[in-house]
Amino acid sequence: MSAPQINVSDVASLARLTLTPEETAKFSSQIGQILSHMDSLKQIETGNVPEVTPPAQPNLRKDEPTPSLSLQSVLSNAPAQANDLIVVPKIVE
Amino acid sequence: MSSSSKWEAVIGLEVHVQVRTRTKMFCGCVNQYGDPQNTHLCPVCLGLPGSLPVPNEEAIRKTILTGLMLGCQIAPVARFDRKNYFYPDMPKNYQISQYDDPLCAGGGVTLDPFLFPKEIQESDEAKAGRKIRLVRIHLEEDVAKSFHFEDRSGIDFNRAGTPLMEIVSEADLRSPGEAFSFLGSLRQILLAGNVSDADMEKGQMRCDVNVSVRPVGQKEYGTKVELKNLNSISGVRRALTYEIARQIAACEKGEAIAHETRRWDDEAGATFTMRTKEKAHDYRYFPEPDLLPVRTDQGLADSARKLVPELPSELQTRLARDFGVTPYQASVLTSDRILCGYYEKAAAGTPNKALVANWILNDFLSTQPDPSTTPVRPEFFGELADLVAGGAINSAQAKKVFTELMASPTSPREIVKKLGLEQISDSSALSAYCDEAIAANPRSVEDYKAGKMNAINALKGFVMKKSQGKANPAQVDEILRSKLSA
Repeated sequence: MSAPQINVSDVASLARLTLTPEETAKFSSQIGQILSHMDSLKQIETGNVPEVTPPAQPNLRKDEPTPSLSLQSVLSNAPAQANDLIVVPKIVE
Repeated sequence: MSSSSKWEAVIGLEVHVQVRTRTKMFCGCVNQYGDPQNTHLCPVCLGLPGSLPVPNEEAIRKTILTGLMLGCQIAPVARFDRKNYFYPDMPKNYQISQYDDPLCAGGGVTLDPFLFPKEIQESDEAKAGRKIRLVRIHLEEDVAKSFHFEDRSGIDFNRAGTPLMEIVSEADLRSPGEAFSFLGSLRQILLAGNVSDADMEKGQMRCDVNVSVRPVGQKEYGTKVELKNLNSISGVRRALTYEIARQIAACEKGEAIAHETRRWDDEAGATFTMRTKEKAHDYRYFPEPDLLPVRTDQGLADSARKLVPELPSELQTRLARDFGVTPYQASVLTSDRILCGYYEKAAAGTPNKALVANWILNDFLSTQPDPSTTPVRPEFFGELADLVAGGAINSAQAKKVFTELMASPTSPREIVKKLGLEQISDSSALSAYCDEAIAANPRSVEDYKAGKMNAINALKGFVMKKSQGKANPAQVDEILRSKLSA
């Protein structure tokens, strides 16, 4: 069976990553291996297995507020901040 | 034939609606607009590793309620999916949304003629009352608010993770006016169900528009363009009017329409290219592994069913049938439920319901714009209407009573007494006034007898003046005519 192909350059551009040609080749082969491993799941015969019914009472939450984090602790994780905003590189589509 | 009538526009809308809940979609942080920045955040809505989402039951119930109000089928089992994209307004780098199994499918919005722009409410297009089909309604989480500075952007995550419904229409709309009515009609239904305040200018309702043009009679769609940055219902109409004309002009010159997203600039009154869609977005949807499917058929849908209110169309029918108001008045009352409740109380105790509607919708609204805080008790309107209909005061006097009622709200009967306005309906008193009038105006009497019927007005005027406006005009007319023909 041939290894499934994935366009690593496309995925990298979606994730805003810049890859060298060497990295692209390396990741293509690595991800291909992962995908072909996952593909083995498709070999399993599941036609006779009944679909799992979700539980009647799913884990839902009542619409009641719980405490939030303090502004200080929220901002403490941010690489940059100003005026209580988390600052990121300019984003305009 | 004008060139534009050879072309037809095809329009579909994607409407995002903020669901009114106390807390966010997947965590207990407060869902509140306008609070200090970055103060309603926790590990879940910040997307910190190891946190797990738990769906808000109320947001699901309100989405089902919306589906029920719009005639959708409610999925017995709905699922959440991850929509992956990399953008700083989304802390997890994916948005929890619904892809294959949304909560609601099908349904539709009927276009209310009175929610078309004013100047085309009488058009055939408005009167047609078309039903615009919906594809689906799904529930997802909203993203953060971004502020753009010269060289960087700042993010307030308070809105991130708040519940957001997406209502997707079929490409059934054919004109900017229809899109305008669609949004207004939809908003009215959302307000009736208390699902959202759905104010576009506050971002509670946001709308993306897909529009293309094709020659009339052609089945295939033209290349569609997506419009963004539409911040009001009238803005949607203006943007569509511009964009349709732009596309028709391009087609007539033989130019191809680019498959692109265009930004509406309300000040410039034009759309501008934002990006071309050479490559479709690849969101790599997959089932959200952190969430179980939601069973709606185990009580959730039933609990939503109990919340279905009297819908705007039902209310309009009832107002016309039980209160005798005009279709236009019914539409105005329907668009303001507080005013409508006030009117229903005002008209409850009187048979003169249409008269009460006239006062409330014309005179009352111009002096007391907020019926929820007005000191004027609604029953007073019924009382006033009965006084006029019973002949105790005439309509000119009613205006005086009304002015006084607004200035110092008390029972109209009291006001009539206080102002000494009680109409004279006693026929012997009126007869005496009429005799006086005839004696004092021999010229008019002669004219009348000679066939100048209008001459009677001078006599009536005399009686009204003598009685200080209190004489019942209809009765005076009757008495004068009988005396003059004797």
